[in-house]
Amino acid sequence: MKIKAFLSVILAASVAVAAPKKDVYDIRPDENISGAPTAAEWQGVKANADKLAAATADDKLAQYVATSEAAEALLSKVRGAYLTDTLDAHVIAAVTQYVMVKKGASWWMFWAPEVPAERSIWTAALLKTAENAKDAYITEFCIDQLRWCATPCQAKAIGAIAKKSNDKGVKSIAEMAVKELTK
Amino acid sequence: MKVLKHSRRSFLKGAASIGAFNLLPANVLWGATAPSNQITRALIGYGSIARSHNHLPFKGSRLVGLCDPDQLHVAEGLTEAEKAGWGKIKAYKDFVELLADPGVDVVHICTPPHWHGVQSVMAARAGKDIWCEKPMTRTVGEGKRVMEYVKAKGRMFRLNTWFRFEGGFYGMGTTVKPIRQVVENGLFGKGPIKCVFGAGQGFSWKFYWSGKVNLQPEICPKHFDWDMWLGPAPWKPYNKHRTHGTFRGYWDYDAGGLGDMAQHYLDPLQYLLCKDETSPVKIDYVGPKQHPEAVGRFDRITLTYADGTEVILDGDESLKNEPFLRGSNGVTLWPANKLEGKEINGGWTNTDVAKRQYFGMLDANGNRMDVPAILKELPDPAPQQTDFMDSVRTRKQFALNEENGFRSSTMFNLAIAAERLGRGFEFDPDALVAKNDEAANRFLYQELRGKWSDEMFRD
Repeated sequence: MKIKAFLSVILAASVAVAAPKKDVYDIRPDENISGAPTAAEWQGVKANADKLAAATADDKLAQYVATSEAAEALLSKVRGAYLTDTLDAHVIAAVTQYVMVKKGASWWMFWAPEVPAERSIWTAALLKTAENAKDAYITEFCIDQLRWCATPCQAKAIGAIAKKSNDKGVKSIAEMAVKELTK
Repeated sequence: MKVLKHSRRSFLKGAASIGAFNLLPANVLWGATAPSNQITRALIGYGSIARSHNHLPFKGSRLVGLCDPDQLHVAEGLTEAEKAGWGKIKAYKDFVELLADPGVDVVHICTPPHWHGVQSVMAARAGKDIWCEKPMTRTVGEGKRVMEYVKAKGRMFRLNTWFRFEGGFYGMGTTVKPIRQVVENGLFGKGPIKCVFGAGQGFSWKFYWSGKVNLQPEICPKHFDWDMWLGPAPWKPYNKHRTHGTFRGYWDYDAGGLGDMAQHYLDPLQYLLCKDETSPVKIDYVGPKQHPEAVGRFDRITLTYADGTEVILDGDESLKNEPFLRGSNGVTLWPANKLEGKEINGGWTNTDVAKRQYFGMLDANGNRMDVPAILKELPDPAPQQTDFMDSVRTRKQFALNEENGFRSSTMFNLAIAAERLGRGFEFDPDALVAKNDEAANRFLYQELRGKWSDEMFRD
């Protein structure tokens, strides 16, 4: 028993000496913790490309912004620490652009026709998700989308989210979104 | 010493001397090659591109310093500078300190594209001449500001691409000059020209410059000032793949292979098509919808000018058997090797272009044209100012400057906007805005983070 214990100690010490301490900086340029592919690699796989094309066809995108519930359900798939499913991330960005081409969107918002329903539903869902998220990454992700599709009257709400948050990413993207909407 | 420096800068730039009392200019005392007579430069950023021929080793001016938010890069830069014969140069705390140094005449902006606009404007404000990496800027809005401000401040500006005046133009196996000659002298007819850029013509879109779809936060190394590296880009957690050799893969900083190569390809094209004063009016996109953060791939982006001239960026190689140029009269221009059935060399080349066969041309009936004989009869294009140090001394605008560089950068910025929109749009080349398209304009005119917005747009 004593010999076994002694040998265990020696073995443990040897392992500790032999294995260099892994520094968090010891990450190769092409490696990251999740081992995710690049966007081009993912899009280049035929199965993914087909899924993406189907999921981002206009009639599919329209379904996500037909009701608030549908929009919020899609946004509930946003994950913290940038772990959102790749297809879902593509679809969300596509919806953001889809709502911007609906009739009524124009450069000079103050004399444009009423903001179309799809855009209202989508931006409201983004705001609600951003406000209620427990994870700052989710808030930041949603505001990053609002940067491209929010209306000027939503600047105040975005600013309020930034004020409540202690997260640098949220504050930074919210500031940029507010500047975009109030210029 | 300070008085000598003022005298040197006055001598170099022809400005009135400062102060009541001037010593004799150093070149009188020491000769024209005195160090104090040389134009001085400093490098903003010491990543991989700063090590290349036009930056650290460049012999046309004297390297006096550098800065980088990564202290490991700074240390490398100081060592390499000494090895290259520049002696002990100065390591600035940051580029703001660098710009404040009156001993620096020219700044080389060797940072990622999200910094190019702000640093060009700040450099112009500080009275520096500017040698900026490509692409000129990340957005049309930034490019417009740089163009106007650099001009207003009377600074000399050049981009770090050169194919409009020298070097083998990728798959063509020739310089751009003879291509310009045949275009300018009407060999492609009076109507619009169609141009294709893809692997089939010897141009690669480098889709390997793509971002990771799930970039998890990492601990930032202590030697790296992540906030400074981000600068005007949105704050996002550090991940090594966002930086240094792989920043190109993220929309916040660049635009993948398009960002890397578009200005190298499209600037000479703009020159040879004689379109330096305008921009495309219509942009079409075919390809996948894009990831919100990571740059992906595209199938085809088409930029159309008001006269119908089309520039097609062939990402999926569906046009690989098309010529590089096709005229309205049916005349076509090809990489010479293509017509010989040989492999096209589309890579970087310092090949002696005189030894290579010229590009090939076919007439409307598909018959080979005698290109050397044709070129003998054609006048040369107007000469270009190709020595930037001479531009700095004489204040003569460089061949690739803030104006035509803005136009070719705009071609790239329009393509990027279409890729991110997932669709095409129309553009007003005079007002420099997308027509009736709020979504497109949000990509073309983007806000900057924090104080960098003020630095960009204040007087």
